[in-house]
Amino acid sequence: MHSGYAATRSRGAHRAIAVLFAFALCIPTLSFGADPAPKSGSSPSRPNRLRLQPPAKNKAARPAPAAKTPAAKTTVSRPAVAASPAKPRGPLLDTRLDSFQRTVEVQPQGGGWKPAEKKMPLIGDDKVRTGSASIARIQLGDGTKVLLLQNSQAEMQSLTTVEKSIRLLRGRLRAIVRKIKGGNNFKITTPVGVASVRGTDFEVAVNDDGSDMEVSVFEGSVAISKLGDLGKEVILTAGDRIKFGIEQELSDPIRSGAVPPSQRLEMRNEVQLASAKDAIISMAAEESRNADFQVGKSLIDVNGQRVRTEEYITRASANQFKLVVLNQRATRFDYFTYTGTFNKDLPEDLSVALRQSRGLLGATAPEYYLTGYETLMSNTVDNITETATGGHLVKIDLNSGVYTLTDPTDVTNTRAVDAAVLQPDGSYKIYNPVSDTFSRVTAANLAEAVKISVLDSSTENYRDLSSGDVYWKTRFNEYGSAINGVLKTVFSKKSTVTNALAIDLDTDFANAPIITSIEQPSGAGNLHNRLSLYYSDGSKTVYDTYIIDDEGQLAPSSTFDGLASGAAYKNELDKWNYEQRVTSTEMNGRSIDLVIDPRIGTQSGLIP
Amino acid sequence: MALLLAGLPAIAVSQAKAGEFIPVTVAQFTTGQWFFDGRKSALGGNLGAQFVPAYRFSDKFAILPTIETNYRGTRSAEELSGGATLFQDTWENGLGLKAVMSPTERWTYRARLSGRMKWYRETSDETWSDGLYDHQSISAGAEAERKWGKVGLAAGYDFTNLHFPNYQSLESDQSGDQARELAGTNVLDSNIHMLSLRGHTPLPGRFGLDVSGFFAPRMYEDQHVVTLSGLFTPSTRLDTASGVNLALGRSFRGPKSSMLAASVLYGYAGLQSNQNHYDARLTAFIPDFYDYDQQSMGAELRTGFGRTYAGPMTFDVGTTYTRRNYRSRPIQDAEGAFLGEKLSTTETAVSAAFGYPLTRNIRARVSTSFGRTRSNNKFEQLYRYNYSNANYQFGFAYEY
Repeated sequence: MHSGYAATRSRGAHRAIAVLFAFALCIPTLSFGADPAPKSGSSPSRPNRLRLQPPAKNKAARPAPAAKTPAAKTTVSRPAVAASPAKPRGPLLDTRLDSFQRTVEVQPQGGGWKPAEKKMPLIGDDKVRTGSASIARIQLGDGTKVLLLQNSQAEMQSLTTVEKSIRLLRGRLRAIVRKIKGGNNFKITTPVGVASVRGTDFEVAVNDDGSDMEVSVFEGSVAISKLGDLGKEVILTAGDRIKFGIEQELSDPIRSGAVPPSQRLEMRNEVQLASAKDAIISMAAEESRNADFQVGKSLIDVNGQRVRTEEYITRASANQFKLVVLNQRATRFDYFTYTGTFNKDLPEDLSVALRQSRGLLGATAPEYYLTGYETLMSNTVDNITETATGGHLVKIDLNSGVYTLTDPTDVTNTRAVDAAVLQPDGSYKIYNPVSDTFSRVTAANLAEAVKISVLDSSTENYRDLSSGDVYWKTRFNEYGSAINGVLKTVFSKKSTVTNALAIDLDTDFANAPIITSIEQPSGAGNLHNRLSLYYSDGSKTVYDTYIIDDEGQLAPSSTFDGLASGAAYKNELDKWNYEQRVTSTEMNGRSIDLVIDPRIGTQSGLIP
Repeated sequence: MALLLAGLPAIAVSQAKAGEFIPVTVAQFTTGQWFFDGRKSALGGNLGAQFVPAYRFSDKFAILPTIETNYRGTRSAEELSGGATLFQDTWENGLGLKAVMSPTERWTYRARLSGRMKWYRETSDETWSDGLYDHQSISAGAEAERKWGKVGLAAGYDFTNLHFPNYQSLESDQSGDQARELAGTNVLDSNIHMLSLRGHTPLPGRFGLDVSGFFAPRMYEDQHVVTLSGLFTPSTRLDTASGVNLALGRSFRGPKSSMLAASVLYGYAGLQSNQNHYDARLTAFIPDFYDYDQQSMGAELRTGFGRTYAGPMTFDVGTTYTRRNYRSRPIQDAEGAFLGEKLSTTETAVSAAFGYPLTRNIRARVSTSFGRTRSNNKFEQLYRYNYSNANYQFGFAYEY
């Protein structure tokens, strides 16, 4: 941050005066009385050529540079130095060029400019100057530090324990004056004025032609007087800044915000303390958000839109449960429900019943099984329903390629169905005991087609049925699907007594859909399938299915490595999210768009 | 607390005569990229500014208003990432007012009020102020600090109301048998009561030890506890978060005015909740779903070296290792089936930053961080538990 003064300089009106900024120093705030006026004999007419004090005539022998000598707190006894016509008051103060950076030169009194040396002693009338991006650190024996900043020149006027005075000829310097008992009589003179202090941190700047002076005080207080008008003083305290020139009168100080560095640091620390507590709260909020992600309440759909999902169970009656899946996007709301009705009242831990009802492997018949279900997909305006009733349990034994279906309520009621039967045309008729349907495949696809995957409740993973397995499954005697209340596909069993008979062999179908196309609109490399169903009533329903990851990216087909069915397919599917968008001629251009866990989809029949 | 705050204006007036204005400004601008498991985000920027027009009425009393804003377009590797996306930026704004009173050398009292608001844009359809997880907090607190020379100890209490304005449960909008009884609406909103303690003491050998801890019950007044049946009970969720942090540090002076500050860190954080989780996908009930214990260790090295006109250059490196063990949450296999083992995560992060002073107040800054998160949980359909991420940023920082 530059002061307005610096800004003025940048416009070319003035040069070489700038206000420096606070160091992080911790010097106590002091009060002080102004120093008496500087020595007389100076003239304010041409400041840079002005000599407040004439060169010394009796020079002391200069001590050799003492690199290891502590710079401060030592009052040395040296021959008296006449820094001015008047005899110096008090013993000389050990003053050294403590260190420097880049280009710094020293001009011993009466000599020429020489490169500076570290720990070089300075005495009255010595001059120090700095080049661009350079700095000289001058240490006085009483602990006072003077930093002569870049492109500056100063003259050591009087350096005794009684009188400490440095004259800034051009540029700027910063003085950090140590408070000592009885007061520290230290002053900076310039061709324009005098700044006198007794324990403070301040900065003085003077421009190249010595016509303007600026003082900023960071700690303590400083008395400012103008040469030629030494009777008038202005007291600056911490935070004050004053600017005046030869042609200008001393005015009131400017409250510039030149705050003591220690105070600024203190304020910063206070803010950080408050921020630390806010950070704990922020982390708590972040954890809430993350927990939502972890339980799947926030997903991204294939269009990059956020989908909020909530999945939960309600219990409408003692033998019923309803799984509810809600999807909310910024502009739409869709939901899916699955209501299952059981053969008996459900336990508190629903998983016991559901684990058995979705198909159970093992010799023991499940205690709980479904007698009916209803699914509903909706966008709050349109709905697609599937309803099944007349549920009864069927025992399925697989032995040597033959499924034996048995009605457990009448063990004599059995029927054997071959897993695959060769047809005269060379194809095979395949029986799927899980969906209770027949299909035809070519010989080349036979091996894959006879793999029937079921969920193994003991491992919660899918596996293929193998010879010797016993599998229990609910069959329904009536089924119907409807879009906006218009029945599409309906079937019902012809017989009510042959519970073990497969649907395809004992069922009346109505308005079964004809699949006319399966497309891959996003290319063969991505798992986006479009299934178009045409019904005999002339209506059409299109299912767009997307397999996506948690960021809504389409799964590559290679992930499934050619799998389209079987346990390996369903296990892989469980690692992804499943989005299904349904449009229909019954829905007037609207759609139902659900992102659903594939496991819910497979268990509820949404995913075949 | 209310009495304390009500008294502030009167004190301010009485002390105003000797007052001084102490403005503090911190700002930074960086740009960079974030990498998540080999994918990279677009070049994003981070921009932040904090302005504190503090006013010191006397040596014994000051007030610190705070205004801050932070936009973040590039994440760091230390942030939670598993459920988020590459496309994400946040904007946080805060207002604060703090009063600091030091009636004696030994005692300092602090009171604060703050309001913060954080906005998220995480998906293509979210704009500022309508992000699902936008949240706002209002906090009020007080603290008393006692000093014995260089030893200090402070105890405080803070109350926070945390509100998610755009998040209401979907279930609460349903009717009839489509929703459970007691389904709450503002289920993420909570009230947090935080007790905190912090202290500092110098140790032999020029070491310094900082200790801090907190105990924070958090009440979700609209989120009911779910049971084995999948239904809600009348009880509401109550979490208790606690934490302890230790930092042992020492500074060293090197040649040519170089400096090195080294510190080692240890932290413990725990959460205990009465809330359970009902996984309707698998009809699985998981008691104490949120409970965890977390331990972290870290080390930091901060160096200052070289002399430029505007100050030293800085180079900082740091590393942290964090392990979180969930007390009851079971792991899942890749397909989602629950297994017997309890879930744990480990996060390792390494960061480095270089600063070069351009002026006394402006520093150029380059930083990078790398993080690696691993878990025994293999189910990543909803949330990534195993990933690596990294970032780099460069820009400027300003302090005045």
